Amino acid sequence: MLADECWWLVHDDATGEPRVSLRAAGWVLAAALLGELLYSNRVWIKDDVIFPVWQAAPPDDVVSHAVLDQVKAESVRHPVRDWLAFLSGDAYGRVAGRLAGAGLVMARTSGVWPFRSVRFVPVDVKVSAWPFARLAAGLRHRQPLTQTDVFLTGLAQAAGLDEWLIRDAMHPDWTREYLRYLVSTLPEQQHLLLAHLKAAVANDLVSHRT
Amino acid sequence: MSVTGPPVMGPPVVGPPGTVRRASAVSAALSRNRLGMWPLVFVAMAGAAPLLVVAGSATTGFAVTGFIGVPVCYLAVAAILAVFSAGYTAMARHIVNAGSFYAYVSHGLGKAWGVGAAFIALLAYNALQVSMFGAFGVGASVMAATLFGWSMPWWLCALAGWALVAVLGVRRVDLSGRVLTVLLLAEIAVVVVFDVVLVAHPVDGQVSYAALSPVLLLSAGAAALLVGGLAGFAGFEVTTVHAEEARDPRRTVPRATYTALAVIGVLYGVSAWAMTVNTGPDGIVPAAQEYGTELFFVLAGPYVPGWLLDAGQLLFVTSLFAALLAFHNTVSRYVFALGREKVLPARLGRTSRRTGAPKFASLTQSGLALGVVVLFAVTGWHPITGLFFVGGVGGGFGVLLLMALTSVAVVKFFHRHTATESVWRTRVAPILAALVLTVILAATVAEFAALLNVPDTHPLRWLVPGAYALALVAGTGWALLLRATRPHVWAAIGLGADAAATTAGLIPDRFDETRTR
Repeated sequence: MLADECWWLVHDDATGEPRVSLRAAGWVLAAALLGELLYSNRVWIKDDVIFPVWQAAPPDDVVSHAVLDQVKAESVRHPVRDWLAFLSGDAYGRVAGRLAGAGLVMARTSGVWPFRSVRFVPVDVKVSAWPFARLAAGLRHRQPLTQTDVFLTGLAQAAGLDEWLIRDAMHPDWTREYLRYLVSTLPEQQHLLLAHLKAAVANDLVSHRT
Repeated sequence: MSVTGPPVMGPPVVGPPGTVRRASAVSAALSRNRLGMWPLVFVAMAGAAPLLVVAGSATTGFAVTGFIGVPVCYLAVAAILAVFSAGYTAMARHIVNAGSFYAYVSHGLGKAWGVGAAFIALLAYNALQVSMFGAFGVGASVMAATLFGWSMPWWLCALAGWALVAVLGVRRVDLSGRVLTVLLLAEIAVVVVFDVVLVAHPVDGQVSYAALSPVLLLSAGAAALLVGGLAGFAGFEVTTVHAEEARDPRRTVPRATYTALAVIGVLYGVSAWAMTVNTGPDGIVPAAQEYGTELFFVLAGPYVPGWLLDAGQLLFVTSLFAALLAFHNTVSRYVFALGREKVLPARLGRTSRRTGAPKFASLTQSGLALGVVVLFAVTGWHPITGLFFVGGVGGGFGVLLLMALTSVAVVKFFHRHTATESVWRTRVAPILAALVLTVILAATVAEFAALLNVPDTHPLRWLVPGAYALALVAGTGWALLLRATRPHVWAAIGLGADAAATTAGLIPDRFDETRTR
């Protein structure tokens, strides 16, 4: 699933340490959850507002199902930014729960109160390292990427991980150029979602919220 | 990667609206997270450090200028800022998400002026931040001497504080809102207690209101002191940055701004006055010259228990430290925002991947601060009357200049855009503010030598206004160069975080009247 792959991107593949701030991770995972619904044609975006597709079959996945139910339950339609803000609150926990339920991560608590923190350690590094390796290699060799991989690249870019994706490229400038080109080919709805995501993440920094 | 579920053929169709109208969970959750008035008031006051201003700036103002009108100046500054805020907060509703003076000037006066304003802001906030190292160093070394009996030069303490700020800044550690609020309330409590005992013990048994006389504002030197007073209010303008997060921003933001101004203004004014009551209007200047930043504690010393005095000393230092960190973060985020818009080198707009901190911007500010502190340590220039006062006045002058520019920008902005706000807020108040601020500005430039207590021919007299003139010219010039050579950078100036999206035409332009919350 898209949000799972996004989770692997924003966490260290071995230790499970977040690669970005938790607030940024929340934003990015919220966008990934919306992206899942967007790519499965269960929601659509028009004039900056998210609508559910009523006749679509419900998703098999519990988390995706719950998000769609939330979208459907609203009697008024909300702009993309509001959905991102709303979902960013618990997107992190939801995706972590989904991965834990699938046996892909193990929750590990460390530290003593009040500095206790929970980390989700990947069970299989082949799984956790795969999205990053795939995207980095695809970009490096300028191969065509699938639609969802391009969107995933866009998510990584919004989280500020783009430079890191092209870190090992032989020609970083070309690779960077290719990455930007790929992201620019995304359909309008996906593009809008990413634009809002980027603005939200950047806003946090500029207006002093961390 | 697989996408589950069968794709839907044909265009998506919106289903029938539910027959039962439910309250929106999204709106409820989002409005729960919105800020009410009091949280915003505390946000605005977080940059203001009451003990720093009362014990540091006010006493230094008395000592350096030899003028007793400091208390009435604080009250006057609060009143002027309130008039300024009427138009300033009205504009906040029209330019959401962009924040601060730079964006407002860009939208009101044009992008070239906007970049000029940004350069002025950088200079002013840097001056304010760096100047506080002087007071911090002295405050911390006095505290170390009284509490632990250690004797340390001021610059050693300042360097220790600098190192801490540099590390916390680049690690992106902000003091949490709760910690700041507790510190602020404790400071206010100490200041109020000291004020009460000072007023209760007037020098000849007679409470004198001489230092509060508005007539003092007409005398020579008053306009200049207003600038020093202004520095103590720096940071009040952040309420508008949070406009988008506020509950009912149209009412909440102005109210929070006025409330913060009233609280800060009265606190500063009354405290400065309380000191003159205790020493007598004639005694305050010599006393301030003798005791410097210690004066507030020395005066209250005989009437309050020792632990309270120690607590006050400690809070003076913590308040300074909080202000140092807050201003450091303000500057580095300002640089970061400019770097991201590529007005400054794009490198400055990069964040540390690990912490998300604006790393290069933070390091740049720290480097500058280190240079200045070391300069003062090596040359032996005075940390209070030199670094703290000149830097504070210099920074205050820049903030004044920014506010004057912003007022003109507000007038021009509402001249072009129709607005639902009252004529007072869109026309009268901004024009009045622009006029008053310009008068003060002119008077300050004329009296800069007196303000800094240097002879008329002293180079410092022209150094500060000259630096700002240079910043303005450099900023506008650079912007015009960008227009000629890099039009895409020019196009995004002043649009803030939504820049990338808005210039790409993706997010609908928000600067119109359609968006109401």
